[in-house]
Amino acid sequence: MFLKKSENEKTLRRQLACLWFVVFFPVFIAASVVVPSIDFKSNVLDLVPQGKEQPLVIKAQKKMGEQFNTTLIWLVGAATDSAAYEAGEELRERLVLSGLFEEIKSGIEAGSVTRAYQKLLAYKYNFLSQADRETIEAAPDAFAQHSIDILFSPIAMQRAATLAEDPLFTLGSYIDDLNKSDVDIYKDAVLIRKNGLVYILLFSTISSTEKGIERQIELVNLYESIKNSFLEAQETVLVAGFPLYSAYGARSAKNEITSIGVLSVFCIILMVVLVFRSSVPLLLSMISIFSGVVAAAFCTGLFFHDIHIVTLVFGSSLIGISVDYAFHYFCSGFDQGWSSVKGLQKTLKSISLGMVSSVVAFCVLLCTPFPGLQQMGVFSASGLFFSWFTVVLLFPFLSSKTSFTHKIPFSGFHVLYQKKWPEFFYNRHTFFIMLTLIFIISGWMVLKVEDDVRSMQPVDARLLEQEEMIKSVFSEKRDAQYFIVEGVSVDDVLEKERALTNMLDHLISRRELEGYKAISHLYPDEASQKYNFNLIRTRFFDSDLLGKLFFEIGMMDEQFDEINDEIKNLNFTVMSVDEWVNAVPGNLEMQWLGCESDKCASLVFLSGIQNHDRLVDVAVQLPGIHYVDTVATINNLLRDYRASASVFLVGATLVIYLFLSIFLGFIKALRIILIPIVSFLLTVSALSLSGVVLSLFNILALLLVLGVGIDYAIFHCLGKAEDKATSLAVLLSVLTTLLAFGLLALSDTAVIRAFGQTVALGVFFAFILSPLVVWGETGHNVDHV
Amino acid sequence: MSGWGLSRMRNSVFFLGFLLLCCGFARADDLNQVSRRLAQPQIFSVGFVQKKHIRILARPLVSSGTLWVDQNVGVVWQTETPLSSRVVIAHQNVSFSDMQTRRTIKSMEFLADILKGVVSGNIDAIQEQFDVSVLDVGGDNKSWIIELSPKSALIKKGIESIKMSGHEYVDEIILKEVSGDQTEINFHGLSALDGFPVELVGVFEEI
Repeated sequence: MFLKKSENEKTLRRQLACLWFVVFFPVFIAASVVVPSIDFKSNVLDLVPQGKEQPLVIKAQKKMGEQFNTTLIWLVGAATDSAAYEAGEELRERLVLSGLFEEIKSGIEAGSVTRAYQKLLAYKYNFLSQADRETIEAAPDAFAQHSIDILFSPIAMQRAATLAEDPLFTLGSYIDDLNKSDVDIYKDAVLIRKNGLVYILLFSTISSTEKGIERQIELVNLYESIKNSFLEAQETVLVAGFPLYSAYGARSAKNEITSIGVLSVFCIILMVVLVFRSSVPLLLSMISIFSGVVAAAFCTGLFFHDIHIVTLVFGSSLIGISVDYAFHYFCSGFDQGWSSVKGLQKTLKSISLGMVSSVVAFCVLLCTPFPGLQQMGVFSASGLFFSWFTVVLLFPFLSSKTSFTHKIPFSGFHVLYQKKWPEFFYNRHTFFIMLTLIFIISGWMVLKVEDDVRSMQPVDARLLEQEEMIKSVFSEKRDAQYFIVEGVSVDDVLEKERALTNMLDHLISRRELEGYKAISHLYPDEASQKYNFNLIRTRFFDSDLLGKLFFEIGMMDEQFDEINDEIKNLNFTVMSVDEWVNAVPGNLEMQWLGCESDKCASLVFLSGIQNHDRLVDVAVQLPGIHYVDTVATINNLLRDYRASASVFLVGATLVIYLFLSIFLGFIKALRIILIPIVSFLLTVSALSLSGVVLSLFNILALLLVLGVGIDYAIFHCLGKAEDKATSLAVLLSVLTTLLAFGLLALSDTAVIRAFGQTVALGVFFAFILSPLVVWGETGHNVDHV
Repeated sequence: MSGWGLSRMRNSVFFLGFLLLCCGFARADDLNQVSRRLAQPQIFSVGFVQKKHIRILARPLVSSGTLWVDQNVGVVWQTETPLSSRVVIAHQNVSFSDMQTRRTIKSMEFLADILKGVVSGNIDAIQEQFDVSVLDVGGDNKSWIIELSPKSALIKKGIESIKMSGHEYVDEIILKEVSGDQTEINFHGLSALDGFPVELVGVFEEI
C-alpha cells in the first residue's frame, strides 16, 4: 500500500536507498571494528556443548588437543653421530627460517637439567631418588663416604661446583634419576640409536598466529623439500603429527577448490552476463551477498565473541540462497514497461516470504545445545535478512537505469519447464508417485550413516608409515587415548592414580597394555618430601656425620657452618605439584591439570594399548577415573551434531509450514513444503542407493536444499503460470548453485564431496519438483498475502 | 682518489690477506707439528697425580692412580690413593664404582668423548668439541702447549678451558671450570701395551 501511494518513483528509490544506507552503514562500521577482533576457532572440541562434559574433562581434551593440533615430531637419521648432528642442525635451521614454527626444541633439552636444578634448589632436601633413599636408610655412612669419594674422580665437575649448595649431591642425583632415558648426548644434541642409524629428535610447534590454508601449503612444501634434499645426502627424515596430515588435506582441498572455484566463478559470470547482457545484475548480486556476509559475521561475533570455521564454511554457503532474491528481481526486468520500483513491487511478496521462512527456520537452530549449530543459525538468519534488505532497498536505486531490451532468454525452456513437464507429470501422476515412493523406500532401506572422523579425511598411507617408524624409534610412545584422574585434592588425585596404575600393572602383565606414565610415580607427595627432608637432616647433619667427612677433605669451617646452619634453620616446606611439574624435565606439565573449583585432576598417558575395552572397564570400576578416547570423543560429537541437525531439519520444516500456513493457508503451505521434503527424501535415497555413507556434512548440505527448495516453491506458487521470469529465475538459481557447490561433488576430499553431492542432488530434485507445486490449482496464481 | 692511491690501497689489502693466510697456515702447521710430536700408543697405561682445587675447600683434593687407555674402546681411570675407585668411560657411557657402589652416571655422558679424547691426546677427536690454539711448540726439546676452548654451549656451561702440554706424550692437563674450580693432572711412566691386564678385560662391556 505504501508503494502504491507513492507518486514519485525517483523519490521512493532515493528514500529506500537512504534507509538502506542508514541501517547498513553503521552495521558495516561496527563490523569493521568487531570482526577483526573475533576469535576464529578451528578446534573441533570448541563445538562441544557447554555443560555436556565436565569442565576438567574439557580442559584436558583442549590441552591435549592443542598439543595434538600444533606439534610435529621430526627425526633425522644418519650413519654416524657427527653426520646426524650436522643433519639435525641443518633441519633446525631450515625449520627456523621457514617462519612456520613458534618453537623448535630437542626431544630432551640438554639445558633442561640445569633449569630443573635451579628451580628445585629451594626444596633440595625434599627430593631423593629411590636408590639414594634406600642407601641412606640402610647405610648413611657408606652414602656419605661415596659422595666424598666421587669428588676425587675426573667426573666430579658438577658435584664439585655444587658442593656448597648440594653437599651430598642428592638433588643432582634425583634429577638424573628423573631424566633417565636410552638416549645419548652428542655436543648439545640428543641422539637416539636404532636400527643401525643415529637419529636426532626435534619437536616443532606450529605458530599460533600464522594459520590459514596458505601456511598449511607452505608446511607441505617445506616438508617435501626437506625430505628430498636430505634423501640426496643419504639421510633419512621422518615426520609425524596432525598439522602435516591436515596440511596435506588442505592442499588437496585448495587445489580442488581453486580449480573448481575458478571454473565455477567463470561459468557463473559468463552465464549471468549472457542472460542479462549487462554487468549490473552481477555486480548488484555481489553487493547483496557481501552485505549479507558482513552483517552475518558482525551479528555472530556480537552474540558469541567467536566464530567457528564450520560456521563460516556452511553459513557462507547458506547465504548463497540469497542470490535467488537478486535473480528473481532482475528476471522481472524482462517485463514490458518495467521499472525498478515495479520490479520490486512484483517480486517483493515472494522474496520476502522466502526470506522470512528461511530466517524463522534458522532461528530454530538457536534452540539446539550445540554452539556450532547456534552460530550457524545466527549467521545464516542475519545474512539472509541483510541480503534481502539490500535487494529490497538498494537495488531499485542502483538499477534504476537498467533495462533489458533483448528478449527473455530460454523462452523455449519456460514452455518445457513450466507447462510441458507439469502436464507430463499430471497425466502420469500415479506412476510417478509410485516410482518416487519405491525409490525413496528402497533408498532408505539401505541407508547407512557413519560418524568416524578418520574416514572423512583419510591420512596418506606414506605418512602413516612414517608415524609407525617414528614410534618404533622413539621409545617415549604415547597413544591417543589417556585417563583423566579427578579428585578433591592433590593427595586424592595421587591416591586415585596409584589405584589406577595398580590395575594398569595387571593389564601390562597380561600384555594388554605396554606402559603408562603417571605423575604419582614420579612426584613425591607431602609426606614423602617431609620424610626425605628429615632423613637427610637426622642422618647427616644432626649426627655430624657429614661434618667429619668434610673436615677430612679440608672444607673451610665457615663454609661448612653455612651449610650446617642452613639445614638446621630450614623449616620444611612442601613443593607443590604445580611447581614441581613446571620444574622437572620431561614435559610433565602436560599431565597436571591443576585444581579449580575444589577439584584437581591429572592425566595418565598410555602406550601400546591392545584392548580398549579393558581400559573402559577400569574406568568404570574406579571412581574419579575417566577414560578418554579423543577419536571416539570427536566421533560422538559428530554423531550428536548429525542427530541434532536431522531433528532441526524436521523441526525447521514444520516451523516453515506453520508460518506459511498463516499467510497462504494450510493447503497451499502444504504444497510448498512438500517440495523440499520430497527433495530431501529423494536426495538421501539417491545417495544411499549409490553406496554413499551419510555423515553430518550431508545433513548440513540438506539445510541449503531446504532454503533453495522453499524459495523455488514460493516463486512458482506466487508467480503466474505464463510468467517466464519465474522459470528463468529458478533456472539461473539452480545453475549458479550447481556451479558454485554442486561441482564440489567431484572433490577427493570426503567432507567436500559429501557436501557437493548432497547439494547437487537436492537442488536438482527441488528444481524438477517446484513447478508441480501448483498441481491441481486453477489459475495457480492465487495471492493470499 | 688518485690512481697511485688506489694502487697503494689495493696492495695493502692483498698484503693483509696474505698475512692472514699465512697466519692460518702457520696455525694449522703448528697443530700438525703437535700431532706429529704426540706419539700416544693405541693401548697404554700411565700413572697420574690429580689435584682438584675446589674453591670452598682449603686445600686441593689430591689423588693418584693409573690410567688405562684403549683409544678404540675407552678409558679406565683407576684411583688408588687416598681411596680406591674406578671410572670407566666407553660407548658414550660413564660408570663410577667404589667400595660402596657402582653406577652409570647419565649426566656425565657428554663428557665421555671429551675425557677420552683429552687423555688419549687424540687431536682430531678433540677438535670436534674444542677450538684448539697452539700456545707453544718449542724447538729441539719437542715440547708443546695447546689450549682448548669449548665450541658447544653445553660444554661452555661447565668448562672454561683446558690446557694440555707434553712432549712425545701428554704430560699435563689443566682443566679450568666456569665455577672457578681447577683440576691439574700430571702423567708419568707411560707404557705401551698389547692389551689390558686380565683383571680389566671385560670392564667395558659391563657399562
